[in-house]
Amino acid sequence: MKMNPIHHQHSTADGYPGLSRRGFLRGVSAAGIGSLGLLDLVALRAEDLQKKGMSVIVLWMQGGPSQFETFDPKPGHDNSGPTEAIKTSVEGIQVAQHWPLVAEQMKDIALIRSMTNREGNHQRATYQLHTGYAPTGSVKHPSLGSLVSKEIGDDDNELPQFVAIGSSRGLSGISAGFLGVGYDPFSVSSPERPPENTRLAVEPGRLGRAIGLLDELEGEFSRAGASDRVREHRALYAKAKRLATSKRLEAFNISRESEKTRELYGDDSFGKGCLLARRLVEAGVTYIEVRSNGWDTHNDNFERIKTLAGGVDRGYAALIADLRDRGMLDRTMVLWMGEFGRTPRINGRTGRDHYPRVFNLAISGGGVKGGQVIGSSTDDGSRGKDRPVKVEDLFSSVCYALDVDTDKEHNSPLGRPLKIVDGGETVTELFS
Amino acid sequence: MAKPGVFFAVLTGLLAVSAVGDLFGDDYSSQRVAAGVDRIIGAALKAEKTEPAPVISDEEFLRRVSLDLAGHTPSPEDLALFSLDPAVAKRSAMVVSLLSTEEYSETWGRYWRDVIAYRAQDQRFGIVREQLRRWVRDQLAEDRGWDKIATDLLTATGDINDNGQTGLVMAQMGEANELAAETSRIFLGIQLQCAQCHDHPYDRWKREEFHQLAAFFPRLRIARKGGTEASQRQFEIVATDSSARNFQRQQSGQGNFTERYGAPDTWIKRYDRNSDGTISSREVPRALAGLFGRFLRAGDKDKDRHLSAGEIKAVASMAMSRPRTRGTGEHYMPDLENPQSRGTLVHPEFFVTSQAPDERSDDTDRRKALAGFLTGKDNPWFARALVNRVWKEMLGKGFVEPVDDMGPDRSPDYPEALDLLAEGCRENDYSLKWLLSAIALTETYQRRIREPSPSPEAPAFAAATCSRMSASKLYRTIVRVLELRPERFSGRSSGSSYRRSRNSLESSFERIFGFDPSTPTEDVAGTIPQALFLMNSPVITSAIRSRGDTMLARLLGDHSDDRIAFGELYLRVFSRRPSEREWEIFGKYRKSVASRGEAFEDLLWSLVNSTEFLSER
Repeated sequence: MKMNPIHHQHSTADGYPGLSRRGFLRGVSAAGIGSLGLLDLVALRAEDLQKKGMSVIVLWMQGGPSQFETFDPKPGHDNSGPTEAIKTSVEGIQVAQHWPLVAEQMKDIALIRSMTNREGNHQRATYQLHTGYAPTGSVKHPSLGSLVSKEIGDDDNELPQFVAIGSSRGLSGISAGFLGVGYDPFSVSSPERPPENTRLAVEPGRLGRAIGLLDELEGEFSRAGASDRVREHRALYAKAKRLATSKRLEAFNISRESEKTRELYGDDSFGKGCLLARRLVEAGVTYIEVRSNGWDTHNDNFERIKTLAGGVDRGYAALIADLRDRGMLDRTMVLWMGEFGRTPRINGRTGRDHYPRVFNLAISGGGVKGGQVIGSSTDDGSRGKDRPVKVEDLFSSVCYALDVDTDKEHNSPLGRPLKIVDGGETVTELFS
Repeated sequence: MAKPGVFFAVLTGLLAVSAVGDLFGDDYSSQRVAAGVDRIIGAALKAEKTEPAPVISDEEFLRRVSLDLAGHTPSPEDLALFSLDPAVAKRSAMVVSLLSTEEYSETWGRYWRDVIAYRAQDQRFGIVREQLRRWVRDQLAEDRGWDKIATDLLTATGDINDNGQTGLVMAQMGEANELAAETSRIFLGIQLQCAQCHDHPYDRWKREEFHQLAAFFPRLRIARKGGTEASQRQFEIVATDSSARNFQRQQSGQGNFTERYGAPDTWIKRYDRNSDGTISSREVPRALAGLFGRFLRAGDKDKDRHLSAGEIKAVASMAMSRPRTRGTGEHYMPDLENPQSRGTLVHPEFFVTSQAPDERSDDTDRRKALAGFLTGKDNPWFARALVNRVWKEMLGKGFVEPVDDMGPDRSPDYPEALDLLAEGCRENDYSLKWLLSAIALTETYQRRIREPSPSPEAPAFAAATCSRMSASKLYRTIVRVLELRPERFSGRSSGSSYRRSRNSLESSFERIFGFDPSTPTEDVAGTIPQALFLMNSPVITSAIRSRGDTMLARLLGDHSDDRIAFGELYLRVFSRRPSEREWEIFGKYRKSVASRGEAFEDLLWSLVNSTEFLSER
C-alpha cells in the first residue's frame, strides 16, 4: 500500500498520535463530553487508524464542460471564439473569463489540462468517469464513491457515506454496482430541504415494534424463494430507520449556517449544494457529489457558458475558501470535472460538440499541491501536448490521496476479481 | 364493492378465446406459438435435468397477469370471482379481457415512455414527456403495429406540444449521433454508441457503420418555434432542407452572401463611414443589421460595441467558413487524428442490411427510408429486440441481458424460442397485444418463483424471477389497495397539463421509485428514500389510519372478528390468503398491543412496507 505523508502530518490532534480532530470530535459527540476515559481514547485511536477521516467532494458538470470556456482558455486563437482569459491569484495561470472567483482560489487548485479518453457518448463516458471502467454490459462496476465509502467510510455513522446532491438526470447508471445496495449513492434532489420523509410518523418505540412485525411476516415470502430480496430489504429498512432517528440529520439543514456563510456560497442551488457538501463532510460523510446540469452546449455555447459558469463559480470558490479557513481542506479532496471536453472547432450553431481526446479538470485538497498546472494542450486545443492523464491515472491519484489500495480486488458476480482501479499511475506531481 | 363488470369481462373473454386462434392467423396464433415456446424450453430443461418450478395458482396468476397487463394488483372481488370460475380456459380468457382494458394501454404507454425518457439528455425533454406517454398509449389502445409506432417516432416533425411522437427526437434534442445510438439501442437492441468514437471493442461494428446510421439524421433540428424567446416551451422539429435543391442553395449560400454584401474582411472598407477603423450597427446597411448584431454578440472582444477588422475576421470565419455539421446537409465522421478538419463525408446506410437511400433525398425521405429498412422483414433485429424487451418485462429476465445489448456476438438463452416469438410478431404485423398474449399463455410465464440456483450455469426460466414493481404500477396499486384519493396529495390541481403532471402524486412516485426499464432486474435495488417514503410519508401514514375516512377504518368496521379482518387485509394487500403461521404471528402481536386499531395499523404498515408487496412475483 502506498503511504501518503499527508496522513501523518494531519493525523494528530491534541497530542494523541493517530487521532484526528474530526475523529476526536466524532468520538466526543458519541460518548458525551467528560465521559471519555483513557480506554475510550485508545479505542477511538484504533478506529481512526482504520478510517482515515478523509472525504471527497466531486463537483460534477453533467454534459461535458468546454475546456476552452473553463480552465484551458486559448485567447487569441480562432478556436477560442469570443472567450477571453483572466489572471488568477497564481502568477502565470490563466482561466476563462467566466471564473473570477475560482481564479482567486487558484493557489489551492491544481489544474490538469491533458486529460484524455476515448468515450464521446454521455452515458458511456459518465459511467467511465464514475467507475474508472468503460461499460461492458456484462459487469456493473461500482462507482468510485461506493468503493471509497466501502473502504474508508465510517460504518458507525448513521448518515449514508455516499451522498449525491442535485438532479440525477443522465446519472441513473451511477450506483454501487456489484457491491450491493448498501453502498449506493443517497440522492438529495434539493439541498434546500432536508431529505424527505425523515420525520418519524410514529414514536420510535412503535416503529421498532412494527419493523419487528414486518420482519416476522416476511418469513413466508423469504421461504417461497425470495430470501435474497428480503435480506436486502431488511438491511435497507435498518439503515432508513437509523438515518431517520439520527441527530446527525441536522447536517442536511443548511439554514443552520450563518447568513454570512450562506451568502458566500450564493443563492442558487449549486452553491447551496456545495454548502451542504461541507456540512456533510463535517458530519462524517465520506464521498459527496454535487451536480450541475446543462453543460452539453452543442449550440449557443458562449452564451450558455456565461449562465452555467455564473452558477458554479461562486459555490466552487466558496467551498475551497471555506474548507481552507476551517482547516478541513487537507482532509477533503475537491474535484471539479465532467464526462469529457468539447471540440476545438466551433460548429455552425456557435456550439461545441463532444470531445474526449483532450479535456481539463481541477483538483484541490486532500494533500494536492495547488497553484499548478499539470499537462497542457496544443495551441489550437486539439490534442494533448504533454503529460497525458488517463481516467485510471486520475482514479489512482484519488485513491493515493485517500490511502485506498487500488490493487484490492472485489469479486464481480461473474466470479472475475476486479481491482478498484485497473492499471493507472498516480499523477505524482499533484502531491509534490 | 362488488364488481359484476369483471365477471362479465371474463365471460366475454371466454367467448373471445375460441376466436383467439383465428384472430391472429392460424400458424402463428398466440396459443400455438406459446405452446411452441414451452416445447423448446421444456426440452432444453429436460436435457439439462432441471425440474421446472410448478405452475402458479389462480390467485398467483391473477396477481401476476394483472400487474403485467393492467399495471395493478387485483381486488379481493376479482380474486374471488376468478378462483371460483370453473371454466377451463379462464386464464387465456383473462389475458384477452385485460388486454382490452384502458389500463393496458395506460400501463404499457408508461413503459415505452420510460424506455425513451430515462436516456433523455436534456431537461427540455420534460416538455414533451407527458405528450409522449399519451401518444404511445393511444397507439397501443388501437394496437397499431410496433413497426408503425417506430416509424412515427423516427419520422416525427412539427410542434412538440401537439405531438407526442416527437418524443424520441426531442429526448436527444435532434442530435444526429445521439439519435443513431438510441435508434439502435431501442429498436435493434444493439449498443452502437461506443463506435461513435472508436471501433467497437467486442462486437463487430465499425466507426463508419455508426456514422452511416447518424447520417440519416443530420437534416433535422429542434428549433424554438417562431424563433422567439417568448416561450421557453415552444419547440418544433424542423427539416432544414426540404429538398435536395434547397440543399444545393445552402451550400452556395456563402457565395451569394459575399456577392451581395462583400466578404466580411472588406466590410471596414465598405461601411466604416466615420473612418475610425471600426464599424458600429449604425454604419451597416439595414439588411445586415441582424447578422451584425449576432457578430457583435459573439465577437466584440473589447466590448466597445464596435467591430474592428480583426474582430470581424475572427467572428466571420467562425460563423461562416466552418462546416455546419448539424442542422444542414450532411453528416461528417470526425477525423480523430485531425479534429480541425471537417472530417469524412458519410452517406446514410443501414448497417444491418447495407441498404441506402438516394443520396439526394431530403430529411423526411431519409428518415422514412431508415424506418423502412429498420422495420423491413429482412432485418431480424427489429422483432427480436421487441420480443426480448417484452419478455423481460413479463418474466423479469430477457433471453439476452441487458435487453438493449443483444449482439451481434452474444448468444441468447433458447434462441429458437426467441426466434419463434419474433417470427410470430412479424406474421401478426407486430401487434403488441399478440405478443403479450403469446407470452402470458406460456407455461414458462406461469411458473412459481423459487430460490435461484447459485450456479450461473443453471438454465434460465425454470422458475419465475421476482422483480421490483415499476413506479407507476406501485402507484396504481397503492391507490387501489389503500383507496387513496390522489388529488388530495397533488401540489396543484389547475394549470397546464404539463404542470399538473409534474406536480401529481404519480410524479412523486416516479421520482422516488422510478428506474430505467432497460436495467436488468437484479440491478434494480431499493433505496433509502423509497423506504423512508413508505415508512414515514404523510401520503402513506394518513391512509393506513384505523379511524376516519380510510380503507382500514371501513374494513375494521365491517369485520369485528380479528381473524376475518386479518384475512381480508391480506387478500387486499397481498392478493392471497394468509398462512396459518402468519395468523399466529399477528395473533401474538395483536395481544401485545392494547388497541385493536393500533395493532391493525401496524399490520397494514408492515404489509405495505414488505418485500412481497413491492415485488412482482
